[in-house]
Amino acid sequence: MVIHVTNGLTTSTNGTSIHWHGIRQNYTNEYDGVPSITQCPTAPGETITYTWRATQYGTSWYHSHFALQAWEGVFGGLIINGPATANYDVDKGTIILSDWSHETCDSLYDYAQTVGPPTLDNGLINGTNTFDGSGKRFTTSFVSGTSYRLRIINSAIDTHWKFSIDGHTLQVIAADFVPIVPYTANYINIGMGMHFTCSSSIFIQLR
Amino acid sequence: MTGAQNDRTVQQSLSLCILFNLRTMRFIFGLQVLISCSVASPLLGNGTPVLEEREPQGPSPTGGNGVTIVPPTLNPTLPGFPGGGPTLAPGPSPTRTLGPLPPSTGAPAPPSGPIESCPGNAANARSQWCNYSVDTDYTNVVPNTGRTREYWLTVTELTASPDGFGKCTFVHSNASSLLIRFCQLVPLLPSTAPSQDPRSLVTGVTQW
Repeated sequence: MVIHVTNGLTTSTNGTSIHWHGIRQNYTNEYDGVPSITQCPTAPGETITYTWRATQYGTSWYHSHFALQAWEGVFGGLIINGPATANYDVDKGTIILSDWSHETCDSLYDYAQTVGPPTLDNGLINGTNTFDGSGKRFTTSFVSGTSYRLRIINSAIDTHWKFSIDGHTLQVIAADFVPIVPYTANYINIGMGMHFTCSSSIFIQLR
Repeated sequence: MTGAQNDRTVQQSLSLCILFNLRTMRFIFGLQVLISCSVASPLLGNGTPVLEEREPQGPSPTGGNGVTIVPPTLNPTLPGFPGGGPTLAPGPSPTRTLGPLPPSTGAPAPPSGPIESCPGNAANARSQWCNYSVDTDYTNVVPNTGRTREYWLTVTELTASPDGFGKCTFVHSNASSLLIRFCQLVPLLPSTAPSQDPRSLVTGVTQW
């Protein structure tokens, strides 16, 4: 993998970085993307090139590791394809579960440090949700009788998610980059930064 | 918190634009890397996210071994959405195969389709992956695809509001862009102080 990350934050003049969450950086530690640990923040207008080898397969995510920038939205899913421990018909890709505050994470930082983690205003599924009648829910389509692979990621700053689909069970086939012996669950707990892969047989009443 | 920090003034936003180089699309077998933009929410903004083509376009993915991208699966059409742009309406599948990189001028997005896989990874044989399987000791055996995948990401500023709350306006971005909100961007904390490592924070406000 060769990824060029350019900092275009010319107005805010913030630094940035991208951390490849869960990726083994064997002999490539300098590309782990953690400011002050493995690199200096990438300054506005500058570009850093990360180079690493994909030696695992499964689902993860990448995110800025600069201050609280990840939770202002600088992140995305990361999939390395490979075999799976259960069959499925369709790979639905990533479903990223975020928590969301109407104040920025940065403005809540002092409160979190002095009082405790605040409860955030909302949760997002793949970057969208409703609030007081505004916004829009995430939607995706399923066909009855088809099995789907869902790659669930918790990108929250401070929220533990339980993921379930009403009226359906989940067959969990992987956790982080580890393929596992499948087990069935009504819901799964996903800690922050974790990612599970579920193969779910979806039988939906078509209208 | 300071008053300034609580202001809901729409000021800035961030986006992460994803650029793909398809020059190295074809490879024989083995691991595929997919960077998804699932976070994307329809953003409207003060600026247009950058989506540049930095390299000549290469061939389309072939043989199920191409890089695929999970595009924004969201709803770009929201009240106040200015001027249209590609509609990222939910489809039967949020995945599509990345065809030739759309020019930054707004060419049609690549065709939709399922994530392709290599031969041997059919729906009824997911335990296989070409010459490897789920039983392969992945801690010691790493396929050598002989291919290098190259991506370009640009972190830029945009304004958006994923749940429609606040003074933020939605902005739209290219389908291949990762869309980020910022109703407000207060000065970020310096990242150089050791205390900035969230793992050292007793409140556990952050983690990864």
